[in-house]
Amino acid sequence: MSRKTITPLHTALVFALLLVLISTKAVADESLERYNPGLTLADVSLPVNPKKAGVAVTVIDKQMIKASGARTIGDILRIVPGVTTGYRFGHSLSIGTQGGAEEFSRRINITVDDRSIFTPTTGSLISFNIVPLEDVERIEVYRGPNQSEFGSNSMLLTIKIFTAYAAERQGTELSFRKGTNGIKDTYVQHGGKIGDLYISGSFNQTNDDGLVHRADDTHKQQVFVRADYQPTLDDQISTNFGAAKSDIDVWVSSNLNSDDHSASDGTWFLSSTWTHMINDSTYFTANLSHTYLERESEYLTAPVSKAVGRLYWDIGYDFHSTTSEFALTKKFDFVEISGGTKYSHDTVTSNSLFKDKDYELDHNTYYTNQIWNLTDTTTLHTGLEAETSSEFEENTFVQSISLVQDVGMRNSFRIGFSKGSRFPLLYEQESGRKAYLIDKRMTPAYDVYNTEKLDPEKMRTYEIAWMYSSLDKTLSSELRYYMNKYDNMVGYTSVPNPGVLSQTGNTVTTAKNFLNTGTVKGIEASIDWRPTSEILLVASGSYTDVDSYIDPTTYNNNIGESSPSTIFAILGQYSFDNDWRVGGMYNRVQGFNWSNGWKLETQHNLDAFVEKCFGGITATKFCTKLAGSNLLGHQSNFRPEAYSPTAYWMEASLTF
Amino acid sequence: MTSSCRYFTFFLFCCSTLLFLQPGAAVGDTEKRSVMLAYINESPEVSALRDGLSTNLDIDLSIRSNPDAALCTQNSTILAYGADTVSKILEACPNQKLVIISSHYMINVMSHLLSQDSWGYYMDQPLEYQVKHADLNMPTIRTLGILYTNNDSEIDQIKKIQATPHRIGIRAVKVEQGQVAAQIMRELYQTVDAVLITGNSEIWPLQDFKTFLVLGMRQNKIMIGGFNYLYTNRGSISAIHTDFHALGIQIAKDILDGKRDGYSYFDKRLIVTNDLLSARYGIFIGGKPTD
Repeated sequence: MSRKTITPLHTALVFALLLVLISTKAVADESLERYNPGLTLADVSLPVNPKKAGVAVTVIDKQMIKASGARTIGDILRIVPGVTTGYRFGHSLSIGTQGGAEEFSRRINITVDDRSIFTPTTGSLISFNIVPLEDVERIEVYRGPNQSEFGSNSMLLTIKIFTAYAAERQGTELSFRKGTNGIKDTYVQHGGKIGDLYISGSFNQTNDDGLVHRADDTHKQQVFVRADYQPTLDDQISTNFGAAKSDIDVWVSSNLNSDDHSASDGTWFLSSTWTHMINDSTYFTANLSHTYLERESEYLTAPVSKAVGRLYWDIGYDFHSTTSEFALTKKFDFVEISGGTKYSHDTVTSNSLFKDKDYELDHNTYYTNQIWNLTDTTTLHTGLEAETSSEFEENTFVQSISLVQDVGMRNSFRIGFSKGSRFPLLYEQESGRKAYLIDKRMTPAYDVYNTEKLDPEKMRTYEIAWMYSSLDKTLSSELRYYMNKYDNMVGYTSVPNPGVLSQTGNTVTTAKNFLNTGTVKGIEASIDWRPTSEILLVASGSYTDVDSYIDPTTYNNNIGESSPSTIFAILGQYSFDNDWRVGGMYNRVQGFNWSNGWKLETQHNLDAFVEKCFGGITATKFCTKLAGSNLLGHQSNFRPEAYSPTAYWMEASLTF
Repeated sequence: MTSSCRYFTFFLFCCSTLLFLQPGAAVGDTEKRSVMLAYINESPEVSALRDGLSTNLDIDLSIRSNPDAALCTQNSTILAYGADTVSKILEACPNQKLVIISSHYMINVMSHLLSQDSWGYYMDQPLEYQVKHADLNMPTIRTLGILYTNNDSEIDQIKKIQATPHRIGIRAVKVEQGQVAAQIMRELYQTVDAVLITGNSEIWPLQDFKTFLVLGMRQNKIMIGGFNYLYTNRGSISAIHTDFHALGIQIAKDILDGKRDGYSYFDKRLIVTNDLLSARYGIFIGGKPTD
């Protein structure tokens, strides 16, 4: 071995290096190495963090769903600040929020996994093809306009429902529920693996008698299948299929008694999403879905008068919607950009809802949003969205901007502005709802008949919010003040009869644009406290002041009415001895004006349960549950003539 | 020119001179020990290891990113990074003496294939350090779940962790044959705040991490641990990793000293944090050392 020559230069260098090494040793031995990873497939379906989001968002996780004891998705949505839900029929959910509360949830976008429940033809098809609550893993509710991120109709609320991966639903789950008010539910789920394909399927059957003083009992059967396939580490394909058949009744005309009434819904959907990682900073998602709904609803009234005779209503329709969506996300060091386009083609056929029998609609949406990391603690969210529709000449264009500022690890503040817009539904633009005079040779007689050329609705939201989260994540809260300015909304009004046979004689009801409709100011607060894994407590409250500028004598409905309203909800559960659980949800609503003209004075609602389970995490698990809903008395919903009764049920479930 | 500037200039001059003279003056090429670093996929760890090895001027380092039968006739000391590399080399060259860097779990799995004179380091760090890291640096975690299988090579470590008092509670759950980890974790996340990624690749296949991450984050629950960038990139929010640069330096020294045998954990560690996730969910990660 050759001898190394040690020189003063070497000595100096070694000494210098030693100095450097010694000075950095404390860090080098076990330093905190910040690692900047790329995006992964998981990013597509990771839950949003309300503290980082550009808009107000409430995340309802599986634990909250279980803690609430809710039997339907509508019940659990009441924990969202400023939101209440009601049932005109026992099976038909309506969602009210921000003074925009009306029966058909026209300003709300609902998605299940990547498939939008909302369609520009008929609005949100709530209740009919949402997946069973047992299959729902998480619900994210975005408050305020968020169209640049979620597209069409994400105006007052966007409700994103996520089901569980099939890989999580391996094994078998059985549950059976029986109680008062005709409650009799069955749920069967099984998950397995075929090669690399995870698949889970469920069948559920729900029965109840609906509301008191309504003939609206529900008998629904539903199938839901989810398959997940990951051919490579960079590709994920998920496919959902669902079908439901409901025998439901929608008899409301209590003053026109007749026993001749029936209704049913049949629906199926198929939705497939492919996500591909192009590289560590870029991915795209592509979704293709088809939804079919067939609604049959007919009833015969008692004679209205000698001159008119009996009315025969046949307010059903056949509906097909095919939708494709593509979105690309690219992450740079300083900004994350995503953009997408969505196309939908709807066909609808109806004998009694529209002026013509058949319609076809094409609808295009283009959106982009950006998350700018201005500093380590400051994030700017910006977004744009534009829509075109074959039914309307005018396009919609909305923008959003918000700034999120972190203050330490615990606090965040957000200030934001966004615009919302939506095309009127086909039902609003082309409405021609008619009954047939059965004693007059089936002559059609209209009650809703559109006479106006409608423009897209427009609104603006200004908001400021403070979010807090403790370092150990046991406590998080949100306080938000917002102001919605409704610049142009579609409501219904009476206009002179254009020459059709009207049930109201000289007038018909038509949809119409109302400019400078009103202002809604609201304060919303929520708190989520989970000090241990045994305790969960979530509370939310809101005060909403609706200031309507429209003369109440100039419209019939679907415009928010002036009123202050307060909503409070709390849900919680306590687990003890590992296998006991008690929980439930309390909800109080005061002064809530549904814009259909229905007013709710005060409503208290308490659902509660106690559950005992046997078995562990990796073993067969058997649970029994005693539960009750509306324990403080009947729940009046938003129609005074009918109410949800107090009900009790027993439930048994087996998982293996 | 100030005196400090003069010293700095002098220091730079010294460095430059040394670097200029180094190839011929310090060590003759013929005296260098030939080492071949074999791996299949490039990674930050391989890069750090390579840099560490390269600091030793007595090592003549070559790289083979796609090991094949040509390695069988090599005179170099072969340093195999990762279990897949080891398998591939041994498939082509059975009983090849290797210096191995692989996880504790995989070295146990492959033990019957390895030649007696092979030696090396575990790629991962003892689980107790991962737990200590959670205990000291992650206030989010109050209860930590650990999954294990029958005959798990890390079972002794897990038992030791359970027997050691910590701030955080430990919940160990045995995964039976045929059970799907995602299904168990879905339930487990309801009672723990985090789950520890162990080296057991039966429980923790990388392709399932997407599911693990999403179902955890849905409940504000996290995954910690893992021993290289693949785990961090796919969702481990923070972990104790081996300091691969220091390991490269150490292995170079070991090879030159020719005194290594058996397998051991390396004693220089780093806390590695997934910045994207910790920022997205506002999860605080402290930097207290676990020693």
